Amino acid sequence: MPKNISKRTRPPAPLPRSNSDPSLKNRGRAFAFLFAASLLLAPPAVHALEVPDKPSGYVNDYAGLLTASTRQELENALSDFDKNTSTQILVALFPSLEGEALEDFTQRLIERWRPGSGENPNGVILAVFKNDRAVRIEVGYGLEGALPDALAFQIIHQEILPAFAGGDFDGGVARGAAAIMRATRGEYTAAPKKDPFQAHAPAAFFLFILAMMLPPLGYALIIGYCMFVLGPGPGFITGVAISFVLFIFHRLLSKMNGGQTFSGRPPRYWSGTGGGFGGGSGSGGGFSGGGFTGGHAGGGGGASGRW
Amino acid sequence: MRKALPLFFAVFAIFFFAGFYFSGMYNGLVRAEENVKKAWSQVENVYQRRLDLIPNLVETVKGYAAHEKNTFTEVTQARSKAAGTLTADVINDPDKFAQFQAAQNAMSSALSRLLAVVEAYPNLKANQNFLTLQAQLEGTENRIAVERGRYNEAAQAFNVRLKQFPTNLIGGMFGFHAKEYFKADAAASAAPKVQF
Repeated sequence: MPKNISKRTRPPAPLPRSNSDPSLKNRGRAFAFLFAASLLLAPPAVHALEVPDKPSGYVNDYAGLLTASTRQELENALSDFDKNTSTQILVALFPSLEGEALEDFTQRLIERWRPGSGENPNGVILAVFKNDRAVRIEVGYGLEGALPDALAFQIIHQEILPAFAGGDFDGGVARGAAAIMRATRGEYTAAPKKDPFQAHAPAAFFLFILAMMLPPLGYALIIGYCMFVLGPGPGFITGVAISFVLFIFHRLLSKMNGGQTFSGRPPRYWSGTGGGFGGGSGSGGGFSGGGFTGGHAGGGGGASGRW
Repeated sequence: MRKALPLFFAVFAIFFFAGFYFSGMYNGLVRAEENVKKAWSQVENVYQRRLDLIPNLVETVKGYAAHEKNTFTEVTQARSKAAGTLTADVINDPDKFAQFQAAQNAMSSALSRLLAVVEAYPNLKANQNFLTLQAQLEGTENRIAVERGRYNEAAQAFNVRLKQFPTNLIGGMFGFHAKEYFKADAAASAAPKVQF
């Protein structure tokens, strides 16, 4: 077998969990079986009331409790508030909890909708449940300083419940939202949205230079970096794709320079396991998204009330 | 010699990739365990939060119901006991975990009894300070529920990973322990209910 074809032109080796190795295949089967069995330990919870997807508007009246003018005014006010302070206050009115626990549901709600942004989202949800006569302010992690439980409790009992008891939902919701805005104003200032690509520009530049000068190492680092940023699966594929493009680019450059030929002697850095390193880095899930934590939106902070 | 060379490379490659694979498994376990520890520290935070509210609550109630000495003693003692069980190594040890849960349940019971006492004093119930404390207490109980749920999830993810084959081979070797779960308390002492 000619020596110089084997390592040089082969793209980076795929993950060792491939179809070729029989012992890995059996292990993979056992793993898959155990994994599937383990899923039985945690059957997906069945809920009577499902959390809707994150809405586009700030005021979401699923129960038809508010008048159109109130809805519009409130929508404008909350939208302006978001633009000025980056704090998102969402209002949601549901017809019924349908047997769900109040705090349980609002917890799922804030995790799904994630008002606000950042690792500690600065958002609040004001949720009203008509048939259960319950209202809750669910506070995101980012606003726990500005809107502590005691204050949320006060807002509910002083601003919202008196109005609700008299059947005035427009007034109650409007006053509640206004109070929440007062409490959280000044806590955050709207930061200009960062262009995601800018953050990676310096690294990309460095990696590009490296890929041109020391291809195997450069490709391995590109793949590793992509896996770090995008997660193991998509990152690996993206990294390989980028490496492949750079590889083609590199060959074209070489051909244009008329310098390196591919006749007898492979260039120094192609030797031995140089080509294999790019693939080895992906095995066994050893690399994956770095320190990204659970990133929950809220910790159950806020207050409830019934009228 | 030349015939042995491919074999040598094959064996080398197998060990090389096996090394990566096992290191990947080990790292996965480490990551999962750190998630559990993080979730646990959140649990400790919220339980500590509850403990911090107690002295203020006791003082406020004493202002109106000074003669209910038994209840106050009970609450204060339960608080000290509960504070003593809040450590990080609790999650690896079933006995310590059971002690921890028992202490926190006792705390909940004592709190319920204190709040039951309050029912008889309408002036106290209307006191602004007391209302604030109650709101904070309610919020804290909710937070406790949330963080316990998240801890259980993290612990489950770790335990499943640890006990599966072939990760369990590594787990035993490097001294990873299965994590304890919070169990629902079957007895009557639920979270203190705040009624208006």
